[in-house]
Amino acid sequence: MKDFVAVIRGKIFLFKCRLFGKNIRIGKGLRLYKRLDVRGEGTLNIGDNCKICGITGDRKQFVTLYTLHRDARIQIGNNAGLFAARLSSRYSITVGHDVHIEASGIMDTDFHSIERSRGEPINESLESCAVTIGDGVKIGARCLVTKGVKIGECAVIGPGSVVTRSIPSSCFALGNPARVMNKK
Amino acid sequence: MSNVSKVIRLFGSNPAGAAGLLKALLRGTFTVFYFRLFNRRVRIVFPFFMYETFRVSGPGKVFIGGSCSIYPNMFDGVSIVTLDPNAEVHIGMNCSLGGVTIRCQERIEIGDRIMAGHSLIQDCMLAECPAARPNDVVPREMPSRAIRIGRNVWVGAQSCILRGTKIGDDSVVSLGTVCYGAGIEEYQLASGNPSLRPVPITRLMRMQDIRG
Repeated sequence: MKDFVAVIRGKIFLFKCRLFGKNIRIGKGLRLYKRLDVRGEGTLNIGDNCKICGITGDRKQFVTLYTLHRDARIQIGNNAGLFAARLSSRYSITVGHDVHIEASGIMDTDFHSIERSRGEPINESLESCAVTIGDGVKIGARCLVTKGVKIGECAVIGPGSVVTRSIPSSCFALGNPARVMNKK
Repeated sequence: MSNVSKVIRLFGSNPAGAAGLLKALLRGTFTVFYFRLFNRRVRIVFPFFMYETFRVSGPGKVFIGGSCSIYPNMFDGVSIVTLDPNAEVHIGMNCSLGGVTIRCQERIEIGDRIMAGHSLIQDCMLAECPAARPNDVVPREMPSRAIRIGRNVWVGAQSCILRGTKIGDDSVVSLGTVCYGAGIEEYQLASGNPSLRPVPITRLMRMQDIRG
């Protein structure tokens, strides 16, 4: 029953995007178990058979995909499972196929500079700030992925960690800042 | 009898607090009776003080000892999720829990007189992983491992206690700690993300010249 409702909600969302959101492109078979919040003028591409869920036992149960600028870009591959994930992009976020992201935030900008004026951040560009997440990555609950990070294929990030540096493929990382604990 | 006289004295000195306590006791009693009637897998012993919401979901067993209280913390009550039919959550007597999220796949054992802030206790790596559902394929990585917490432990806010952690009696888990498979013994302080080297509290007190 829940799956049926999710498929229907996904179809309604797809229809709404076709009518109003010209910057949003979503593949076939989207399933919406909880609310999907999309804002901003940037481009948003989502692949086939994606699943949007909340995480059981938390009060905030929706997925947010925010693009903060006209040139911002979020790209999500096929068969992705987003469980109360919060993505906000100023430059570019690329997420691969078969990813599993639980209640964690991914952002590719600092939002403000650390000067007293608190204006636009300086020294940020597309090359230095783009976030890339490989295929088959699993990210645990209450994580944070910051700007300029590349996570390799099939890596696992433990719950509660803050990823500030790039992480190689097929390993397990944990901590603040996230360090590689062991090779799988 | 002494408890009743204490409540009467509290009503004299702080009427609002006493009213809040009575309201919490009433809410708790309703919750106890609700679970006894409709959900026999959840057992709560009678004096149960509920200042905030208390949510239980999933097919496993939950036991909560007598005179536990649930406080609001980060605008959030306690939520307990069991992900497996064989999962078992056991919480001892006199605990005060605020904003704790427990996700259990195997077994979580929590002792008496715990004080816990807004934290996450989870004995599997990924809560929504396909292994959590009975008909799906079990992934090769990360089987769950049981968590055991002793008596008189303080768990700080924003901390995560992850799979395979064992915490001894009278220990303290400080603010923002992530314990991953750490063996914390009796009367030690754990800190850091990830917490690697817990420090004995007797040594800390000797360093700071405090006589306990």
